[in-house]
Amino acid sequence: MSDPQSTPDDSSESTPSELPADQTGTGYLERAQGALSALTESRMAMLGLVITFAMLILALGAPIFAPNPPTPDGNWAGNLENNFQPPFWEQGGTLEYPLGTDQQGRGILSRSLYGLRLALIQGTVPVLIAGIIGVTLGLVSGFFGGWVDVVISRVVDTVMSIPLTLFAIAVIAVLGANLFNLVLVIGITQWVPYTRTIRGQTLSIKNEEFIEAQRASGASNSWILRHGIFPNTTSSILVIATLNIAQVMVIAAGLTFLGLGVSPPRADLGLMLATGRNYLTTAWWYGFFPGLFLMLFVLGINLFGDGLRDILDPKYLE
Amino acid sequence: MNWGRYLLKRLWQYFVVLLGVSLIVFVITRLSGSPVSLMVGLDTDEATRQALRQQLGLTEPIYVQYGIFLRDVITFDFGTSFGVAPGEPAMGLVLNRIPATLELTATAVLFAFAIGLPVGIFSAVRQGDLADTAGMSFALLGQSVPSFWIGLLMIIFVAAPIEFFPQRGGGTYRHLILPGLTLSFFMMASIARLTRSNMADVLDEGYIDTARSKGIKERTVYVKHALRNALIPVISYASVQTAYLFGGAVITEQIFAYPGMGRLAIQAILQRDFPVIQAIVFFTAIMVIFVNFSIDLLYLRIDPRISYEEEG
Repeated sequence: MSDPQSTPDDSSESTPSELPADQTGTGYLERAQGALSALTESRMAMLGLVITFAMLILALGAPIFAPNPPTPDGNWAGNLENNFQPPFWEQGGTLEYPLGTDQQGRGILSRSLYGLRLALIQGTVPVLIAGIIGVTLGLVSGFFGGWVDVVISRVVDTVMSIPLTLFAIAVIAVLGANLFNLVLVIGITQWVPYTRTIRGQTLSIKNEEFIEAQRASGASNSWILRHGIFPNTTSSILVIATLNIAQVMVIAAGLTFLGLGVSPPRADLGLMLATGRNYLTTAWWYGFFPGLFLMLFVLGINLFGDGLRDILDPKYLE
Repeated sequence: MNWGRYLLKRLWQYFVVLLGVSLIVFVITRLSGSPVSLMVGLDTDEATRQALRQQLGLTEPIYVQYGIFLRDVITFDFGTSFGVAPGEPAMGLVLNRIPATLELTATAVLFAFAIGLPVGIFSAVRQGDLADTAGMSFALLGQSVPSFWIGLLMIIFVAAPIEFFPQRGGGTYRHLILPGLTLSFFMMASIARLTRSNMADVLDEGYIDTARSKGIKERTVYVKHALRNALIPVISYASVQTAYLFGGAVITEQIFAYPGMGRLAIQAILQRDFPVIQAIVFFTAIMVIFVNFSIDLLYLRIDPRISYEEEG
């Protein structure tokens, strides 16, 4: 990605202490409290929060909850005699493996719980990467305008016309399939929504009076960007990032499903679905439960993110 | 600015985008190391390798190499496959698969609009009703469900028990139904939600009241006045989703073993067949741009108010 001359020079880094305060930021605490009470009033958002929390606890507490955990060194001891055992309520199922077993006799429930942990990493790390790239480009593009803006906008158009899956296929074919590359590739392809939204907001904020005042008091461009404009875009960033986590989880699982992510024997939801696909007619639980866990996690985050958007960003984004 | 100049400007932007795509593809190709080592056996002597390098232009400076690459791209010459079908031109392999993928994506778009639009309209008209809640819950679920899981569920619960629906392969309309539905789910849900919120906004506008007060039938009000205006953002959204759809097709084709471009991409990647991968990425970008341009043209017809002033 062509990065037009990062931020302008920071020679005047000394922050003038009597700079006009960011006016929309006053009463931040009250606003936060208002948002919180609005959130608790939204039933859907609360439901989302509860589901998300439940999945988080399951993911983080997987070693405690998993009835058939891997050995401490990460190996999944399978028992071939127990393979394709159905869930406990079907004939032949036992409570030892509540949701049945896979082709190697490993517990589906335990592996799904460990899969949630990977899903958590796959959901958050790319969003962090994308957020940093996207917000920076959006701020710079909107603030400086001119050729910088033109270049960034064309890069955005370009990225939007290459399907992510194909880009990831091309890159991962070269770099090799593993968790690190997967997270990296998703991160560097997901920044577009951040850039588009933050660019638009920067365009409108930079003409506000308090920015003019900051400029008049001799603040550098970089100071204004960081202290004047950026704080006023954080609620949008929060909304985009929350919903983006859900999308990215699905994307990561999809790429792993295609064999472009984590490789066996690690417990990954996308990987389990890919293998389970081969046994759909004989062992339906193998392809069913990992997907159910993933869907619940994503649904929870989406519900919560929607609620957050209604509260923080009355105008529909993207 | 008149629309002719607007279209010219868009065309210029698309040209720049294609140039950007070519640059990205070029960089990826070069990241993959020397194609020579992929093309010849390990026991090939250095002289042969050097000759091949010269023949491929790999001894030239990097910008000359990019120039050669561009020339090849413009003439649709992506080289020959050395994995999926050794010796065949990559371009021809991809062209053969394009119709199948286009059929699949078109089916998905059709399902998305045919189901998403009515659900959205119904929910907007019956705001707060049970129908609204049901419709929007369905939509939210649709946005959260990973498409490949839907595909697996469809195989388990629809294709396995009902013989009418094939579990894998392509060729007939029956092969299109389940994969088409699978691919359309996300877009369908998004269209339903977007239509609802836009319809709801438009129904609040003054001219809707005016239309009603003139004694125009409710149904006519909804369809002729409200929907027409609510549709524009939906179409613009669908255009943005084109790239996503082609990407999603890769996964859907893999689930249903559907013989399209996406499945070719997966086969190519497993064998590190870079010419084929390049050709696929490039052709997909061209198709995305083509769709976006068609939608630009569609706008001109739908919305006479649209302004072609400076934008993004």
